[in-house]
Amino acid sequence: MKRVLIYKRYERFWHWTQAALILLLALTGFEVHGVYHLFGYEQAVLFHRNLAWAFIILIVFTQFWNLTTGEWRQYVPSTKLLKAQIEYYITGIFSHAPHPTRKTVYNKFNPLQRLTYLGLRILILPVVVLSGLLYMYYVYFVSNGVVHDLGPIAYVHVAGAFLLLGFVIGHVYLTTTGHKPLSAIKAMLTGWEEMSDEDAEIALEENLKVALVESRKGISGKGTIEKEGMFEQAFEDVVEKLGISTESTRLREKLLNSNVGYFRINKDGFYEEVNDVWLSLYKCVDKKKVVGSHVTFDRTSEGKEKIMLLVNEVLSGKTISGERVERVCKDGTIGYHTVSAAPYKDENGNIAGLEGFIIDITPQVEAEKALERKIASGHKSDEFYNMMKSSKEVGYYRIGKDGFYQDVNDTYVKLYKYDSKDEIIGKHYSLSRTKEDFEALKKSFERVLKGETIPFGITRRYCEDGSIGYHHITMTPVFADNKIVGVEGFIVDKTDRKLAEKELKESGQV
Amino acid sequence: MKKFFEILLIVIVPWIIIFWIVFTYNGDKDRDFYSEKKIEIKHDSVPVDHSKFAVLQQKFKTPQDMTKACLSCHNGRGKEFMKTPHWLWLQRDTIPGRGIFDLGKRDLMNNFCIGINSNEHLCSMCHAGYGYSDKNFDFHNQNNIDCVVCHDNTGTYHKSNPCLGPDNPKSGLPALGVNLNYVAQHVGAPRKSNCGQCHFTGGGGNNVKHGDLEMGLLHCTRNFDVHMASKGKDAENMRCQDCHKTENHNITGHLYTVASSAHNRATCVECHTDKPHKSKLLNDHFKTVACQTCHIPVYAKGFHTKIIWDWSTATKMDKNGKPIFDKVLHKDTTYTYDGKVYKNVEIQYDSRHGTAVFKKDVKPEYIWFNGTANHHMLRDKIKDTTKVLVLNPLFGSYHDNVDPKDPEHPSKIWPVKVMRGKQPFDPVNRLLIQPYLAGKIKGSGALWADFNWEASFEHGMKYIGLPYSRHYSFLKTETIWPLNHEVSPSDKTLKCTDCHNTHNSRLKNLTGFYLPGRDHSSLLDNSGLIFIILVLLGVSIHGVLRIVSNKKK
Repeated sequence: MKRVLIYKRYERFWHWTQAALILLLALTGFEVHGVYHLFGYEQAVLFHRNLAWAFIILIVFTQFWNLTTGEWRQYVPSTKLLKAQIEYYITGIFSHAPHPTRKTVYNKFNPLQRLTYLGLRILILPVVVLSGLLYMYYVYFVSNGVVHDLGPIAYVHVAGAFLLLGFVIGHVYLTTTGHKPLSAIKAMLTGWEEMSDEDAEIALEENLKVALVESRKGISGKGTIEKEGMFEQAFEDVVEKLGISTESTRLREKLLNSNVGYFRINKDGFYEEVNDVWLSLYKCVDKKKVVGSHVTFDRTSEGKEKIMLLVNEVLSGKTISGERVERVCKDGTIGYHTVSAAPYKDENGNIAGLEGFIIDITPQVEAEKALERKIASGHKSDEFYNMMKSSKEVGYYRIGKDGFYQDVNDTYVKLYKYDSKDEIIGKHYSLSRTKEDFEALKKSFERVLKGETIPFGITRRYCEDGSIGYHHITMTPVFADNKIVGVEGFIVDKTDRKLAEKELKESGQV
Repeated sequence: MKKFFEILLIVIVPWIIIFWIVFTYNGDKDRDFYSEKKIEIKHDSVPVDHSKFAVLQQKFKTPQDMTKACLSCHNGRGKEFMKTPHWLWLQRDTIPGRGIFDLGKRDLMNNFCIGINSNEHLCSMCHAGYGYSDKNFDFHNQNNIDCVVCHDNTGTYHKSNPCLGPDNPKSGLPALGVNLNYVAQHVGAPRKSNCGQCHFTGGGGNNVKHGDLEMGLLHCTRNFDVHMASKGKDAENMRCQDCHKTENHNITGHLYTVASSAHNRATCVECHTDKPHKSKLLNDHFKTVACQTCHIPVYAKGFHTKIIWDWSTATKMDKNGKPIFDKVLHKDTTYTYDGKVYKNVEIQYDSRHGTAVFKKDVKPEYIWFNGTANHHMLRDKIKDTTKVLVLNPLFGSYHDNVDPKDPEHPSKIWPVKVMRGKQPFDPVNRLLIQPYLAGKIKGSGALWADFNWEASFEHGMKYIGLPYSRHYSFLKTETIWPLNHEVSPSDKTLKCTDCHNTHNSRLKNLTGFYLPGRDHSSLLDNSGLIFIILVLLGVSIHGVLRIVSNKKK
């Protein structure tokens, strides 16, 4: 059993407040309806009105939260696995079939939940709230001749109340279908959901996948990731907590030196100039061989088409940024990078060609593909770990219970800018951290040692050369003989697209 | 521990804050509500001492001499008074949709003593004049005004009651033994007892007619009538004219048994405002509910009032062929009338009147009322003799509030006393019959002398100049008496659930609109209940199956 963080603080506040409000609204509402005597009619009416306003305020706040955090996407209905989910509740659950869907922080709701909650949000709640407001202020509407009879308003309101009550019963019952009967309720209280190891791992994989895609998006500025905005917010939270600026000059310089390649192409599509980083990315040694060659020369057949489209677009006067393209390197391997380019002009102001930067994303794309292959094939976790360990994009670490590094992979070493594993293994993880960072990390570390899984987080690293980097991090406990003996996980570098853009601007091209 | 604090902070603390606000905040508090302290009752300053006036020292031979003496100083008041309904027993009024009429006792019938015509010599013991013995009374002779019936402050002046014996004068003359000089020298503003001697005893006895106007009001506590209370703490001891403001003998206020429009009325908002409660919700009720509805939860608090009068049983004699007078048949029983059971009532029988049913502490009935009324007048034909004829149908409906035809007169729910009865009518001419009732001389045709309907009807109808086919029957009629008095203090008013109640709402007969707490769609409620039961059943079965399948494993 593992525990995975699913619910944010606001969600938990909102959920339990709403739960209490709905129950009390029902309690007072059915008294007003004349079903029983509890508070006394006058008090019941008064409470019902106050509760209604509290409910409306909460709805407004929550919809605002949903919109600004992008959480609204969790309610976008999906028919994918809907049938499977229904079948699971009808038959699978009795034969102990696995849940067809997993709960992750990015995808909290199964398709049935998505549909139900969306229905609640756009159908039942608005109808109940609107009919309630009409009911409450009926005397003013009726004297203006807007409404003629309270009856239909009341009937709609009561019908909504019955539906809501039915929902609450079903909802409470379905909370017992989690890993353990009380898992879901505990999760809603603490934010951490208990899951079987297998489910937790899949949740972890999902989160890692999102982190990878997010990482690439950070460079390219494009990407079609669903959870747009969530990471930025999390990232900014961390940055704010640590009290550093994202515009850090050192960080930008490091990034530029590490993986930004420069190129210039004339209006016929032939290279005029490239820098050393460009050459190394294309695995070329001789610059002269490149200058004068055509831009389509080192492409796959699909790549040729795409690059010409982009070139023509820039030559027509537009600026592009973060377009993902493929390249064929000198040794025949295929690489991936994002390209940002702008036209440059001669003395007469005519477009003479284009120039721009490329940022390599090959390791990330490879890691994504590996992860996707893994998820598609359903391999066991050992293989997954091995695959991830060998990834050029994903850093792997294992730290013992005592806090000393036991293992890291090459990517981890590279991200921390060390020369070899030996420089890290055997050291305490407080290495290369400020005191505050260490304290923050220590808390997470201790939590994981108690059996929790941290499927995502953003943290800061001080590299060997003194530069600062950021990465997504996952932390899972390492088990041996059913005891937690350490912490392991992955890190995915989080670079900033803005830095590359700024460089482009500073070079005077835009 | 940290987790506990987090839950405390995210769930428990917000709960405490939110629900503390929800359960203590009173958004219903009306901050502009009218303060009761603003109501000021001004009593007149000490009046002049009438005993010093020379003109009142003379020995009055007739009451008319006394009136002449009054008018010798109060000149002009006589002409003024002779325009009022207390004198004319008519008042010009508009019946919406029908026109302008002179309405009053002289051309309307009720279902108590039916009508004054041909019986004036008895009825006029409540006429503010002397000698109104028949329809030929001179309404232009100001010396016939009875000033002191209203202005006597000694309590010794009474009008003669001819029923007490043949020696007693008729037609509104003073009772035997009244010292007119003493009375004339001690006059002043009317007291409750002056108004009450007629208005409390109309219909033949204490509280018989109105139900909310009775002798008990003269000495009562706030629980009995919050305005007129003279006993106990905080007794306001208000006089009639404190509400029924009077100028030039024009007394505000009239009852819809003899009036039809909302002019010249005495209303609650003269003193109170249209938002007198501290609660907005209650003040919102003002639009649709009359003050009286909640504040007069019960009437006839002190004495029985007549609620049913069945004339059809009159003229029956006892075994010896002698008439029965005022016999109480049952003190506390039930009476079934027109399919409805009346509990805790007193039944009386009298050969002159038929059967009468009295009740104390009556819960009002409720109607929609917009302040205007129709009347069944003497010459009106009865449209449907199989149905109950309402003699003064009050206009108003819930719909008046939704789409008011006359925004000046929105309909409100009003408490009313409904007087039910059976009274004679002519099925051929489809007219209500005016019987000749009051008379002691055998063979005169008076019902109370001869106990003969035919003679009584013949005489009565001839008197008002209407045809009588010599066929008669008894028609079920109703008169509706809006209640305004015996207002209870705020802690004795109706409670929300008296109306907002599923089973026993006071407004259960007012249909055609949705009343929260009272009305339900049984289809919706049953479907809702079935839905909830199905959900519960579904999750129970599902849960049991899960437990069973878990055990198997």
